[in-house]
Amino acid sequence: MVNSNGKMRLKRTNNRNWLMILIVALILIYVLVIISPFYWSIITSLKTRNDFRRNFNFGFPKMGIAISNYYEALKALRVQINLPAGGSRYVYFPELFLNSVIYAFGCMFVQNLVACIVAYLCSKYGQRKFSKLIYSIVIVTMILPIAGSLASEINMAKTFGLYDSFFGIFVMRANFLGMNFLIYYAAFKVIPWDFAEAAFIDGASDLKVMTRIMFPLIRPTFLIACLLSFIGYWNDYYIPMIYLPSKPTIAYALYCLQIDSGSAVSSVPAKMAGSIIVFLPVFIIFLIFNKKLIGNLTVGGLKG
Amino acid sequence: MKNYFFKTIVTVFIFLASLTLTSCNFGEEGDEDEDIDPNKTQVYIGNYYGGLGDKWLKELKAQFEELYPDVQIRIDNDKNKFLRDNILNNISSSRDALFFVDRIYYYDMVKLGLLADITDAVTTPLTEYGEDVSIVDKMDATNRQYYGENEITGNKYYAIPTYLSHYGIVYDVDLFEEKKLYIGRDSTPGNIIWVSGKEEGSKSLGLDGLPGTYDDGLPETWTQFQELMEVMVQKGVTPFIWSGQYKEYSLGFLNGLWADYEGAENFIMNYTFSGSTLLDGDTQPTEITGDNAYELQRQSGKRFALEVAKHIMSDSVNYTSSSTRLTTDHLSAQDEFIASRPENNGSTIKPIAMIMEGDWWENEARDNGSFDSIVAMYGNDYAYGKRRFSLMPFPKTEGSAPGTTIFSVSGTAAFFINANCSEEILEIAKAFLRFCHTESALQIFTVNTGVIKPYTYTLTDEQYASLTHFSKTLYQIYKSENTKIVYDLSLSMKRINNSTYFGNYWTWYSNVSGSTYENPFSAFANNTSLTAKAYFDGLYTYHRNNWKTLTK
Amino acid sequence: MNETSVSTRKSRLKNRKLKESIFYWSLLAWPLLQFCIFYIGVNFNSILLSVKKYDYVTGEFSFYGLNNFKTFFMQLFSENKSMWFCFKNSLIVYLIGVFVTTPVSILFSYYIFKNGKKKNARWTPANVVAETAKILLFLPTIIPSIALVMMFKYFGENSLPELLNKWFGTCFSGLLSNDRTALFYVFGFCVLTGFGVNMILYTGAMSGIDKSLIESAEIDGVTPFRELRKIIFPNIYPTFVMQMVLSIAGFFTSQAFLYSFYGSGAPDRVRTFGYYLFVTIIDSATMAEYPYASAVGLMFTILATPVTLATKYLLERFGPSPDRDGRIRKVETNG
Repeated sequence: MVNSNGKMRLKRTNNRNWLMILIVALILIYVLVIISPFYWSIITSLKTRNDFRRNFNFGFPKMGIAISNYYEALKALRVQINLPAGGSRYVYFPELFLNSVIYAFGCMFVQNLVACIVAYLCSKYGQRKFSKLIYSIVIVTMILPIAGSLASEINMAKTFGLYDSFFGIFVMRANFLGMNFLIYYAAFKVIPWDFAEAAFIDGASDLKVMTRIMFPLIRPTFLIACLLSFIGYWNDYYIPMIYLPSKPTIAYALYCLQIDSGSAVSSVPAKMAGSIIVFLPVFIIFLIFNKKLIGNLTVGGLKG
Repeated sequence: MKNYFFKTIVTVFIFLASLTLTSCNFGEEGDEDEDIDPNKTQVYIGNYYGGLGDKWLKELKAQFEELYPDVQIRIDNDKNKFLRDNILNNISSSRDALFFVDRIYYYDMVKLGLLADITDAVTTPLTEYGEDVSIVDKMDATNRQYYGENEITGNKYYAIPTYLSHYGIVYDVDLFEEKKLYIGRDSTPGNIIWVSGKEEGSKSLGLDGLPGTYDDGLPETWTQFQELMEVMVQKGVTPFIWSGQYKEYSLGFLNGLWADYEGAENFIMNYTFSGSTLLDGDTQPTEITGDNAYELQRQSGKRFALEVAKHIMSDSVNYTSSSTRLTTDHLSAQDEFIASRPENNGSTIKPIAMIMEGDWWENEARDNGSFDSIVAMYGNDYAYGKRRFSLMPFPKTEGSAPGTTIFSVSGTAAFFINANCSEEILEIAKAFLRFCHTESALQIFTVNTGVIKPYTYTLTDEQYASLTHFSKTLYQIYKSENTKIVYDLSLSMKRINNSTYFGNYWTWYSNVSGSTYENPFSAFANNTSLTAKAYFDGLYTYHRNNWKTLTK
Repeated sequence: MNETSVSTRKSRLKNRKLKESIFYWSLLAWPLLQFCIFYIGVNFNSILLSVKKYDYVTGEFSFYGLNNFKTFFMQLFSENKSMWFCFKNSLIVYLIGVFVTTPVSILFSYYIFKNGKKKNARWTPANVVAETAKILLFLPTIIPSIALVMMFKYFGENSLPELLNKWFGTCFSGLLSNDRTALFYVFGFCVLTGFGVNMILYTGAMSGIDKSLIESAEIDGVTPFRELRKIIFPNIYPTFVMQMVLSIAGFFTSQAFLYSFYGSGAPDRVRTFGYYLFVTIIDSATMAEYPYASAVGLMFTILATPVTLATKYLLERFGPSPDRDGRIRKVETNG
């Protein structure tokens, strides 16, 4: 469309279209719904017991700021475990933290490494039929709805002596199945093979090409995928609860704090302080790396 | 690049800062107050650190060590460790020689050889302590039979009971006086005069008909109880609170009502599966055996208990909103109950009159700091021991058995010795066990905890005076001749072989039109059209359907 | 070209291929072994377990025939309605995912895609909304679910009823302890936490759309709704299909955070199949329940597989096709 000055003008309808207004309204509702419990948890964690009981729940603390709730929660975040020789003991926050770091880091590393290597082999050695087969396996296992294999997996873990050990859980997580494979596959696919061919001509081996040329090129993707995996494992409490009963993590300790009748703390403000202690480290990481985390992770879609 | 580097440094820093927490001590194994004396023989006692605390045990420990200077008693306080499943699995490798615990699988542990034979210790008179009776002589017949005089244990003792407790209605005496919630002596049927009760002789005589006892001024009948609840609401008082998270408290209340209605003789059939009883709606008594014991679901006491529950849940003004919440554990409920007084302008809570609780509740609340938080605001008049609480007898209705029947839920709260300890330790452990059951030791337990032991003993006037108001009530009730105690103990093989079913499902699981309910209070709260009669009929349906699946 | 150089070249090529094969297979050895044991082996073991029973006295499994399956069918058709509740709730969770979470995720992703802040551009109100939404939508994915559950649980039980009582004057009980509101609250929580991953996938798919398509549509004055319907959705359709297909598996496996909210004690009325299976295994002190759980899982798998494949086929068969004027076209996805 040409205006009176002879310049091209974009023909636009009013962009404040009803759809956009609707979406903004939905976003605002979502923000309100998600922020409210956070706000309430934070102000409750700073209240004394009397304040929480006697005054309006949503109000700010009126009887002083009770930082002691955090100390109380820190002490209460504990899990009782049975010892191999018999008897039992409590695992407190420092050890819970260490277990969480080992579990999350270890699982993240093995799973991403294996998925990355297999994705590389499938994408760059795609002419081999087996590569196509592996790709299909990944897609099929994602589609196939397997239910109720947990009992069997536990049984096998106990049979192979992988139960209740970090090594065991790392072995069980070192697979190429899942979304990570597709992420790496997509990342490797767009890298030209010319770099590798030039390296082969110079006498580089396949291993060198993989480790010195290809892997560094997908480093940002690898780091982000690892970060997402790490966060996922850090937050998980099901797997440690089932497979690592004597190596409890922080997430499991928080679950015990909430559900257990033998919980060391009953005051709601202290419990809210406990939940904030658990979510804070990951929240800080998220704030720092949020642009990278919420960047565009493309995934090879299911085709055919 | 710089920005990324900075962020990485910050992240690493946060992790390192978090790791410095590893240098803080949050708790050590076995928090004992004293060092190990290498010149003495250590004997470890595992103490279930729940509502009773350990003050009584420390006092006994100190006295025993004076008598036996070569012995050092070390107390291992814990709760989870001494839950019955954990004890069963871990006792054989435990260093603890003696145990005071809340519950055990007694016969399972006997069969597995995990408990030491203490027959000689409990059947010989306590002469070394100047008494000519044995521990067993002080026990009642039910406990003697369960713990020692039966075929399963081969007529030997491997454990003895450690305390009595039941669930009941605890009420706030100060609130009743303040709001005039006692029934006056001049009241007539149909015209209740509400008094503060501060004047001597102003309160009605209560169920026992005697002046100056714990039940003076309290409702005798279900009709009076309902009227009391109405008056409470009119005066701005919330009648009830209980723990919504743990159903034991509300179900314990119902069990207490049921037992009190039925009386000891009828109620005990739920544990013996033998006898003859008249069931609800029948004109002829029914003979109860192991094959048809599900018929006991038709006991009228259950119907009455359900009617009470239905009435409470019929109006939300009868209970606090927190009572139905999954986040209200027993400590929160106690907290809220205690903190509901004094009334404070601008506070969101009304005073609460009654809580469904167990005998140990006052100690538990004290150790949880519930009294301290109120003292900090309102002074020492609201401290533990100064606040007055008491037990309200369950109201009677048409068909109720006379007298007071207490359903004790601590039948398997036991004191026992680890079979896996050396001869030397075993002898010391037995000596300590005997010491803990002298007249003086039993008194120390009650004075410190306010809870009664299931043995024959009396407190001196001075000791009685030192008890809290609530503990005095307990003492009066348990020691009264009008009180009959029924224990949750059974020698029936059907019960022993299906302990999970009878422990979890037997009392209040109901099937109404295909839906299974496990707690009448939540059922009535969630389904206002559900009647007490429908729930009662559903009890029979559920257990009749499941009876065939039980092991004989 | 002399023969020596040809044969040298051939041998070099052969050598090269050999080294490549060694490299390829040696790196694949562990992943394949792991897959064989922990996927194929586990599922095969699951089938074997389903026809066994466990003796907790001897600690051994023995053949039990089809009795585990019979037990399940007896429970399914018994007077007890607990299985019916599981089915109903699982269906609700699935339908909420399909008709609420997915469409709203697409809308949110579209908004973020259109209004996300570009590099070196000035901030506009729409940018602020988009960037804030991006962070807040992803937040529940980042935060430990147990911490989030705890906050929501106490908020829904303690705080929200008090607020509603204050506003409306009537007595609201805790949202989780009331059977009528518990489902709504738990499933609402599932919706709130389901946006994060979807947002990443859909915005990623949208960013792969040919920009010239969008620009030419804007020049022609397309409305956002039409753009979404005619351009965006057809191009993110493969991602949409993937999500729909994966959600079928969730019908039988999704716990809907019930274990986090209730532990093992969720009332019958709120249970799902996934929760029922999970609790059957977790609550078992020995391996006595494992055979039964395996049998139930096997039946669920058999039921869900054809439904999954049929869904995939139908969605791909009847999905969006190029517009008549040929301007809209499917973008080939990677792989």
